[in-house]
Amino acid sequence: MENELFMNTGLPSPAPEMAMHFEPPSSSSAVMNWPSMSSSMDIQQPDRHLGRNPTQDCFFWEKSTEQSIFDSALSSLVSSPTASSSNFSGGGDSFIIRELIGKLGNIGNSSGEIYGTPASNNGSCYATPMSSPPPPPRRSSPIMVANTTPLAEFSGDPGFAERAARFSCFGSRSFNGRTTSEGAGNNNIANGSAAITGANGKLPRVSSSPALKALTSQICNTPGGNEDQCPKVTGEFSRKRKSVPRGKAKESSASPSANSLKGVEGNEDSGAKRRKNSEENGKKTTNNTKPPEAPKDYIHVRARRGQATDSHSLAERVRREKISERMKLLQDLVPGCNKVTGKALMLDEIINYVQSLQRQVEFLSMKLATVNTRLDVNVDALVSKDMIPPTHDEQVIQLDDATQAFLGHQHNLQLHPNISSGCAIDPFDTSALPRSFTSHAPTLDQFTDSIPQCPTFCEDDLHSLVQMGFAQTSVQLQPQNFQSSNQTSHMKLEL
Amino acid sequence: MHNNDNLDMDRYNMVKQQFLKNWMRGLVACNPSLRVMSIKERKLTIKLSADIAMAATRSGATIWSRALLSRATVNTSQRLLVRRILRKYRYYPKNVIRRPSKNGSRLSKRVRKGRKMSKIRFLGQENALEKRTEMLKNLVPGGHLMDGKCLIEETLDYVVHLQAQVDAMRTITADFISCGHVNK
Repeated sequence: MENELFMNTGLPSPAPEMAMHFEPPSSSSAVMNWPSMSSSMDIQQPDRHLGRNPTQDCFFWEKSTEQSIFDSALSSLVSSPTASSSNFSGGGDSFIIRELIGKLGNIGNSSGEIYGTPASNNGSCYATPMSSPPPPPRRSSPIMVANTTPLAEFSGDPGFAERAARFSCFGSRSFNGRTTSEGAGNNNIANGSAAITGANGKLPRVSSSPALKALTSQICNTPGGNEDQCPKVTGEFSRKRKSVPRGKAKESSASPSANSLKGVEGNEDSGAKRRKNSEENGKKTTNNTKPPEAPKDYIHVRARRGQATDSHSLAERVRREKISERMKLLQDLVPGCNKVTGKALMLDEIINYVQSLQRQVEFLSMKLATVNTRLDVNVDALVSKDMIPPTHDEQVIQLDDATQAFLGHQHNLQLHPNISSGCAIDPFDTSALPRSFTSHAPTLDQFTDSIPQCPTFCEDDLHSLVQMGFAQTSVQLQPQNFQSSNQTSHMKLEL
Repeated sequence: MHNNDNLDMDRYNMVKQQFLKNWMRGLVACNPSLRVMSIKERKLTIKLSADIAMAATRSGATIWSRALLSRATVNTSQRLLVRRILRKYRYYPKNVIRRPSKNGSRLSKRVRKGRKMSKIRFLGQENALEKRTEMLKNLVPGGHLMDGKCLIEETLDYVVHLQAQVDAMRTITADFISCGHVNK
């Protein structure tokens, strides 16, 4: 049966090979659970080798070399932020982009069939509950997605269009819908890039669907009900994929790619859950004709044991699962959210955090406005100085370096020498800034309340006095002020 | 998890650097007008440039970034400034500048449905969760256009960018301050 599945698609399951090749880059490019995944992969390798088609071995080797090339490229992409940021700004990396996308296509093709394996290997796969083999190979594609889709914006050449066409065979309907609705802004490459983002974005998601369909039986209730929910489901999926693999190359930022990875991971876990339950239900009819017809854009969801089999509730459950995945991601992001359980409380924390961040932006912009009457910005010097990725401690040190080269011609910062004369105050002021916003947000508060009308601190005597006075008052008032504001915001939320 | 943290930090730093670059460019663009402004206007300008930098970092790929930009352009007094800044980025979100109120036309069906739903105001039967999602929608730019799942994704992205923005701004202000201190 496993062989039949493979034969139909014409692709082997290079899963073990892929796992092995994922071991080395896992340290550099993985986001989560790679070691556990690969270990579970190793457990199941003997099982899978049984059904291996020997003629496919050469193909495996091909795949593995591609894999290694891809991984090396990927790790180079990932591990060198500054280098890559300068690279991506140039158009010269379109070559790498094309290479990666080509490999993404191959990987996507093969990874779609990996789901076939655990279904037919009965015992061992489900011994490890959520760590089923498919996630590791497939996780490459989300990484790819996260890293390459930003790059796609930079090269709008027709090579992308043809690859997009190739990818679009997976999910033509929703894909086309999304390209029309997704406005990436740059119209001239909108089609190419949106196609690529759409295609790349859809790829991991859709590649799960043929596998899921291969496993689950047709007892997804009424086919009509299925088709009702399925466009919606794909709509959801495509929306998620659209928003997750976004952004520019210069970012390939932590959270979107981490999100896509975690999102895929979470979804694959739930997919694994579904498949597992389908196995436990004991109704597994693999339709051998299904996989070739794989590129449909809906996903069969299996009803779990003891739950309503209504198509609406299935869709509802899918939706809820996705939301809870995302909430978990948010939990990681927002500090202090780990102890909190439940959506409402977590939303509280998130709201609080967003509010505080926005307030900080206000404070900082006001501070900058008061500090600098003439924003003569030496862009290059500043950016180069700040390009060094800082910890907070490093920041304080770097400021000294930065200030030497930076803005040597600033005449009008007469504020601060006077602060420095009050040396007790000065270390507080400058060193407190990078530390945490708790310390300097209220200083700004005091600042703005007390100096509404003097933008240019030209008079030394006056503003030295003023500065010292303000700094001192702010020192005293700061802890109380901040805590009270925090408490009020908490109280507001609890009402 | 140590690897994860390092990786996340790297990418986060890239976001921050990108934001810094954008913001510097924007500030240079508004520099001429800053001299004559009062302190409040200056603050607004700085905040505006920072917001636009943040949105441009996302280059319109997310709802909140587009909503932020369109919000900035609705105010006609700012629109010129915004346009000038965006020109510096060589980023022309045409739908944003020309039709600031038409952000919704580009949205997918699902988001439009979410928007319609949110217009139906719950009267007194909101549970805690709905109240909070409503609050969150008020916070995140363009939040009213999103449905639940989309909202959380957007919040996720928005939070990361806000963090980067705050960090970068903090660095810059600290730079400015200590630089003056060194000068004398």
